[in-house]
Amino acid sequence: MRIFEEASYSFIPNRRIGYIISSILLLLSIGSLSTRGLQMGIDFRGGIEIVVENVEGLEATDVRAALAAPLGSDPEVKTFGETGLLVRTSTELATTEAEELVISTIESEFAGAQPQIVKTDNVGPRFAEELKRGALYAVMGALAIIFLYILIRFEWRYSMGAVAALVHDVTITLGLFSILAGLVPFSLQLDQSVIAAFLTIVGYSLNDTVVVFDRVREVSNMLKTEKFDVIVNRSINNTLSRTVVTSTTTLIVVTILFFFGGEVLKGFSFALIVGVIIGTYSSIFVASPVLVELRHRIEKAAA
Amino acid sequence: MSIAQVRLGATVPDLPRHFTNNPTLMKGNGFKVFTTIAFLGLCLWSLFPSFQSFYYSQKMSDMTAEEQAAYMDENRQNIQQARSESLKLGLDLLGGMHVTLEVQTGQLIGQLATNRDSTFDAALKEAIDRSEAAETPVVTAFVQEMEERDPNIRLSRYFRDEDDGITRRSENDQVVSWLRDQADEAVTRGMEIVRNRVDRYGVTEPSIQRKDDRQIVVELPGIDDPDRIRELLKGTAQLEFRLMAEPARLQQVAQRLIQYYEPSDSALAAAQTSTVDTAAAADGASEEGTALTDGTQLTEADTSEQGTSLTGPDTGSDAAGPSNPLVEAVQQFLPQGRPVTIAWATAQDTSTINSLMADPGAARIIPGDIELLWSAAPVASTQNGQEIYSLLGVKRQAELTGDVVVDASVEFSQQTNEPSVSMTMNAEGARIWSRITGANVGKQVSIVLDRYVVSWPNINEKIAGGRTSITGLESRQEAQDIVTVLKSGALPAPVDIVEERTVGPSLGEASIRAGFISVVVGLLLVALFMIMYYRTAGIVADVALLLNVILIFGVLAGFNATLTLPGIAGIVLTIGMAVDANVLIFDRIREEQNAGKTLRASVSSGYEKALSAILDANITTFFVGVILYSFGVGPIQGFAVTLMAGILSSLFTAIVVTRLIFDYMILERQMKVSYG
Repeated sequence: MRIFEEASYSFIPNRRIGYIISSILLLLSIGSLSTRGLQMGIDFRGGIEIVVENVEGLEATDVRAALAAPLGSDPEVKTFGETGLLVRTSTELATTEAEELVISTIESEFAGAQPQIVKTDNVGPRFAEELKRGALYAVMGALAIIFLYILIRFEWRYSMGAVAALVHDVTITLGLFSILAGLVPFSLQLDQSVIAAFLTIVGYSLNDTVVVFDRVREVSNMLKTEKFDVIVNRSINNTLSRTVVTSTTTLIVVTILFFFGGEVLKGFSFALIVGVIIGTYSSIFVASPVLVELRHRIEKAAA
Repeated sequence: MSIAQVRLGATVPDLPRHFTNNPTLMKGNGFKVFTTIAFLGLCLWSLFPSFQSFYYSQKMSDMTAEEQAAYMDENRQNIQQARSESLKLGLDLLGGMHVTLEVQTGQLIGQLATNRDSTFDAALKEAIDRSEAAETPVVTAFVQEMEERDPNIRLSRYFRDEDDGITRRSENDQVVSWLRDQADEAVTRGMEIVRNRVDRYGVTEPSIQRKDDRQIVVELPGIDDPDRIRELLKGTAQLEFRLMAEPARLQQVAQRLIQYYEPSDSALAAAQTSTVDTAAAADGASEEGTALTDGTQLTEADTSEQGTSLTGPDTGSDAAGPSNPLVEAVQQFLPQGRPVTIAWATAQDTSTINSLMADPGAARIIPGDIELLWSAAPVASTQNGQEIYSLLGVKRQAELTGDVVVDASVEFSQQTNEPSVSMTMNAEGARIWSRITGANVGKQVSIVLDRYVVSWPNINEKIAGGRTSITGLESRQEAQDIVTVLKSGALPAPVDIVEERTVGPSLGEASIRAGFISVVVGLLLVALFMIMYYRTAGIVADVALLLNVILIFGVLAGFNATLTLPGIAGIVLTIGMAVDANVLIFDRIREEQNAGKTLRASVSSGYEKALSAILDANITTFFVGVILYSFGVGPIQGFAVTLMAGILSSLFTAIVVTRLIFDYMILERQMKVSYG
């Protein structure tokens, strides 16, 4: 099958369309992030999370109302998978106490229910601080090392393009987490696995960008007289088949993870799906145009 | 110089033919073929125990409980070996508990101080708050706080430890480094205590690791009672010195217990069999050969006697009649030469015996001043390798508690180089110790930690000076263990659970299923897509992909990594991303073909030209893996590990293995390979 064999789309000449789309997405994301904010999972906030099974037919809102008084705080209750419920509370109860309260309340308030605890997480508030710090260091460290690596392998304009694309991807993915939280039937809270997903997105998006840049470098060495934006556009087209194939296979597997990977991985695989799409888009519509703009500016300054 | 030589070598005319221009080229690939086969072989070899373990568990799942036990006994060694070498599953797949404990070193400083004042208390409180807010060690924060309050402060005002040379005249630096050592030791001791408790709970393959300066990470697979574990981990260790039950009374207790559980008709027989043993046991030789002496005098120990016999009163097991449950569970009653041991039993029988003893009727038989406690360590083993523990009769009343122990250390006899334990008590403890040992010379005394008997040496003489020597130990390890216990007596600092994650076995199973389905479906769909897009070349890429998955699992098993749910997600993700290298290569080959090159030339330059992009793209993702690994905990690290393993093996399969296959197809078999 050869779909993009003779591809010669005008990506760079039409880069303004990309700018408009990206700007809208970025504005929406930043808007939502600054107003709605992100929902922090217990990893970064501290608290207790209890998953009970065997509660078919119970409505999350009813259970929440029943649990509010005994747990002494405002617990969150969500569906977990098809038959379970997830109870999240920030009180500093001992794990055992919280478990007993949840079970006994559900048993007494809903006749016939025989809840069973299948998963409990308790993260102390100070430990959550530590985890948050660790996550922050990891993200910053990853960005710094990647920037350095690109700087060594390519020149600084390429680095700027790649990093712009990364910031773009992570901001929009975070933004989607913020916008969609509460609107989708699964949890979109920020926790350690979502951070891991973000870093993977960073790696993936970069992977995509590097392939295009690699070709730009190769072509510009071959065609020294050609205009730079033509070279970039041609490189994007040359690698388009590969970009689409790899994105497709990766999208296939992350979508499978989302649907079959179980409830625990929902947020994680959702972040990956969004990230793969945005990452592919950004290597064509953000990283490469930024590279071209920077080059133009230099040329103008020289002229 | 060396470069010149190499180039010279390459142009030597009479080089063997296949090094220069062999038309088939396959012989030149000999090294690649060898490495591929070697890698694959290595991976399959390291995966073999996993298959074995899976086979055993499948086989056993079809059996009844009794058949299982019998089968387990028969193949214990094989099964255990297969299990210990097979691919480890993380707690999120297996079910279990992950707990992070934090030793409150701040409070330790307060406990170590001999005369606290208001400045000290205020500084310590500030220091604890500060070290919690920012990640400074509490000792450092404390010293800074003290110096802020009084630049000329002498820390030696507050601390004294003659053994470690901390006196009124000690410099601040000296005190600070001593405090650091104490804080560090507190965590080490905390870890030992936790390990002891966990071992006693009977968790299979627990993992206890130290994380940064004061955290301990405990991983316990397959826990069915998390509540008890929480209590176990948080509770303060209680070290006690107790006298033993009188051997004659212990015999009576044993007989009456057996009778209590005897099905009525054969009660008499059992009572008779047990008296045979008790007669011999009554002369009261020094159990285990350990002994307590004053100072450095040594007692020769005779520890050759190891109880491996499996005699127990035979209550007609071939007759179909009811049997005595207590007799069934115990390996041997009142073993010979061990006057304070009521019974021997294997580790797996201890819980049965505990519940039999807890029965109200049985509990009434045990006198109020006597308690039956298990030995902390095994005393022997059965022929098929099961460890045997002693059930000992000790006095309920503790004579002394662990806080009187000031110090303990391992010492070696200058003449025989035998290990012994030297223990020092404070003045008050020494006074009571002297009275107890004086009144009980020739008898045994037990060191009890958390209701488990660590050691029960014979008292050789009255010990007056507070310095006691425990001799006749079997190994340096045994001596070290006793020292650890003695020092841990009063847990130096409180321990908090700061993080806890528990996954039930049912959710774990669901996760394994979900992961398995994801891997299989992902592999199938990606493979189909590749064939659709690249035809023959797609099939070759799929072979590489399959090999890649085998290699990842093999590498994980070989490096003893743990497979977690995010780890499986990493493998699934790798399946999608691993084809990237081949996609880059195949697209390049297509381009070369379009430019009019021959198949052979296209393949060769396709691989060559794609390499730089492949490496750049993979190195960056690998970096992300490294960073994830170094920051993450448990499951996230599992993800990072599979991601990194996946990158490495996909580079190998995509670049080396596919090239080999194409060389074979194109050069050897002269096939026309379609790149779609």
